This record gives sequence, structure tokens and C-alpha cells, in this order.
Amino acid sequence: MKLFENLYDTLIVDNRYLFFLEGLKNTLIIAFFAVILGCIIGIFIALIRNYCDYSKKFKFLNFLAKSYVNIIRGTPSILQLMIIYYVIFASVDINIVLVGILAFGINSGAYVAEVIRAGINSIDKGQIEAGASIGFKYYQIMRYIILPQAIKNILPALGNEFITLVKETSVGAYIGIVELTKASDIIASRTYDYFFPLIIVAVIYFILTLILSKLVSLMERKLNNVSS
Amino acid sequence: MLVVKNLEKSFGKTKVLKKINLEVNEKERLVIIGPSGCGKSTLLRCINHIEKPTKGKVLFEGIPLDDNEELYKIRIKMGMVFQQFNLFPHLTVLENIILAPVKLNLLTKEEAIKKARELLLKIHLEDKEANYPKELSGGQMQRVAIARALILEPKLMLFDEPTSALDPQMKKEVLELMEELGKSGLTMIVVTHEMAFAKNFASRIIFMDDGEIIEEGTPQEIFKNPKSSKLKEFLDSLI
Repeated sequence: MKLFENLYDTLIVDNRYLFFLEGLKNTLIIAFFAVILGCIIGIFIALIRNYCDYSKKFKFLNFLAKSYVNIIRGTPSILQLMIIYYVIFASVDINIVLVGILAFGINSGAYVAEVIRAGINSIDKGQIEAGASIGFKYYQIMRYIILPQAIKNILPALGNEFITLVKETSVGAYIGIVELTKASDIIASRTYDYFFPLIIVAVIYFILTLILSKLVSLMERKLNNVSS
Repeated sequence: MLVVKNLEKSFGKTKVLKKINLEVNEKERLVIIGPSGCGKSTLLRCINHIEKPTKGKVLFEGIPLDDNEELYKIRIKMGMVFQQFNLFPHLTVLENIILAPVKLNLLTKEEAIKKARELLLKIHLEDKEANYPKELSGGQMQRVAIARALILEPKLMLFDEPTSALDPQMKKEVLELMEELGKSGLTMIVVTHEMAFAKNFASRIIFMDDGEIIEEGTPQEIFKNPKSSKLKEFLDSLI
């Protein structure tokens, strides 16, 4: 009976389930837009790096892109989030969810860039040479020859990156974004019971990532069918 | 038509090509021979700037190859065939051949397909147009690679050891096609280890060793009267 009472306290009293809904909403919003931002940054950075390596031009630009990737990958995301919120936007009145989107988008961009770069590099160099030998420019070689082949290696890895990102948004609780993890914390602080709030959000995260990984493997199968 | 002037190429500290000077005239069939690692493939790759020369110049019809718009136009006129074929695995045989002329806006898709089918007939692969490269034999792949270059109507064709990755049986079908092209008057530069082919096919042969052109002449001169000791040694080392 005690268990049932606790569950009742966690969800029903004072309409506390609304915290979970609010948390779920923010988690999804942050993850979704951070993924889009991360992809835009990632594609951009990967192409800059690949073009600079290919043409041996714009060395400084290449250095900047490389530094961005190294710094993001070399520091904890929680610190990046805090620096963006408490330092960069310290004196600005900004929506905290937007801060989350920016921070996780910038973070994810570095990983996406590496995933795309690895995918491009996995294609045999002879393909680039063959493309050049028929009069193609860099962007034509990429668009018609390399990327259509690399996408098969890139998309599954990208899917895994998105799954990681969904879980990573829980770090947002640290600066007070009411996403899933923070929601469970708020409720627990009122009911003095951690069991149900934590288990409930764990289940929600699990279902979210389960759906995503199903989508990824579905996509993987489709891509394999196309190629064979 | 092609002039190579004082061409040098280094990889790090290793000098692979040392002051190469070379001229190729229209309708010539130039064959480059030499021991492995002598720089003959690198020379070929420098000619169309797939490998950037460290020093020196390459001029095609009087225009220097450089990192500018001209380079792309010149490469269209300069076909290249690779040892590993380098067909595009995600495209069918027909798509491989028409990709360049269509995307470079040289032909409409219909024109390109028509021309590609004529080429497929010529290389005896008219029934393979819908197949993917991995469904072909090595010799068939190499012939498609040649067709892919030919559709751009190149004035000069570069062959980088086109038969080195092939079984003896398949070598023949590729070499025969190359002989046919030579007879039609196409200017060709061929890097190869096929000495019998070089003897019959070449209008001129260049022998390279250690990044330098050691000797050049007609097949007769090269094979019957080698002058340098290095060439004699090289010819003796062949079975």
C-alpha cells in the first residue's frame, strides 16, 4: 500500500505529473533543435576540414575548425553549458531552453563533424582521383561521388550520436532547465521520495532512446537494401 | 601537344622525380617503362595534376596546368585510366559513363546515353549497362573505365598500369582495346610492365629509373640496342 501511496504522491497530488510532461517537452525541444543545429555546424566544419586537407589551402581556417572540435571534445559538456550560461550569457536575459539548445547544438556539432569526416575518409582515395580525372571540381566530386557512398557509413553513426544527445540533455538540469531529470528532482524534493520520480524518468529516457534506435536500425536496413 | 618542363616531385625529403623534360606530339603512342618505384606512375599523375608537382611546369596545347579554372577544362580533354579502375560503385555501368558529360553540361542526358551505348557496343559490354561495377570482372571494369574517359572525347589518354591488377586472360581484352584506340589515332601515354605490348604498340618508349628519364627511342632502339647500362640491366632482369 505504501508503494501505491508514493506513486500517487509522485504523480497525482498537486497535478505533479505536469512536471514530467513539462520536462519531457523541454527534453524533446532541446534534443530536436540541438540535433538540427549540430548537423548544420557539423556538416559545415567537416566540409571545411576536408576541403582544406584536399586543397592544402586556408590552413588557418582548418586550424580553427580543428581547434573547435578538439576543445569541445576535450572538455565536459556540463562545463560548456555552464560557461555559455554563466559567462557568455551572464548579463543577457535569455530563455534558458534556448541556452540549452545552443550549448548542446554546439557540443553535438563537433561530434557530428567527426562522424561525417570519418565517413568521407572511409571512401577510397581513388574515387576522388577518378572524379578529378573526369574534370570534376571539389564540390562535384563530393556531391556526386563521395557523399552518396559515405552516407551509408555516416547515417548509422549519426543516429547513435542523436541517441547520446537525448540522454546528454539531462545535464541541463544543472543550470535549472526543467527537463526530465530536473522534473524528477523537483517532485522528489516535495515528496521526499526519490524512488518513483527517478524510475519514471529512467523509463521515459529508455523508451525515447529505444524508439530512436529502432528508427536507426530501420534506416540502416533501408540503406543496405539500396546499395545491394 | 603536351610539354613537361623541368618537372620535379618530392614526397617529404624523397625526390621521386628529378628534372623531367618531355614532349608528346599528336597521335603519338608513348610507353613509359622502368622498374617499380622509378617514378613513372608519379610522372603520369603529375601530368594531369592529380599529384601536384613540387617544381616545374606541364603545358597542354600551350596552356600551363595550374590551380585555376583552366585545369578542369584541360582534365576533360585528358582522360585517365587507373590501375584499380576506380569505377563509381554506387552507379551502374551506364551511369558511370554518363556522369561526367551530364553533370558538366557537355551533353544532355539523352545524348549522353546514346553515346554511352555506342561506346558500350565498342567495348562489347552492351548487355551490361544496368549492372553495377561489382558484378563485372576486372577486365570488364577496366573497359568501362576506358569508356568513361572516352565519352568526353579526350585528345590525350593517360593509362597508369591499366592491366597490373588483371589476370592474364583479362589483360588481353584490355590491351586489345588499347591497341584499337591507338590505331584510331588517339594520343596515348601508357605506363606499363607489359613489355610485349610495349614493343608492338609504342611509337616511342621512355625508360625511367630513379626519377629520371634514362633513355628514349623507338621500340627497336630500346629493346634491340639499349645504350645505357641501367636499361640493359633492366631488360636482363625481365624473364
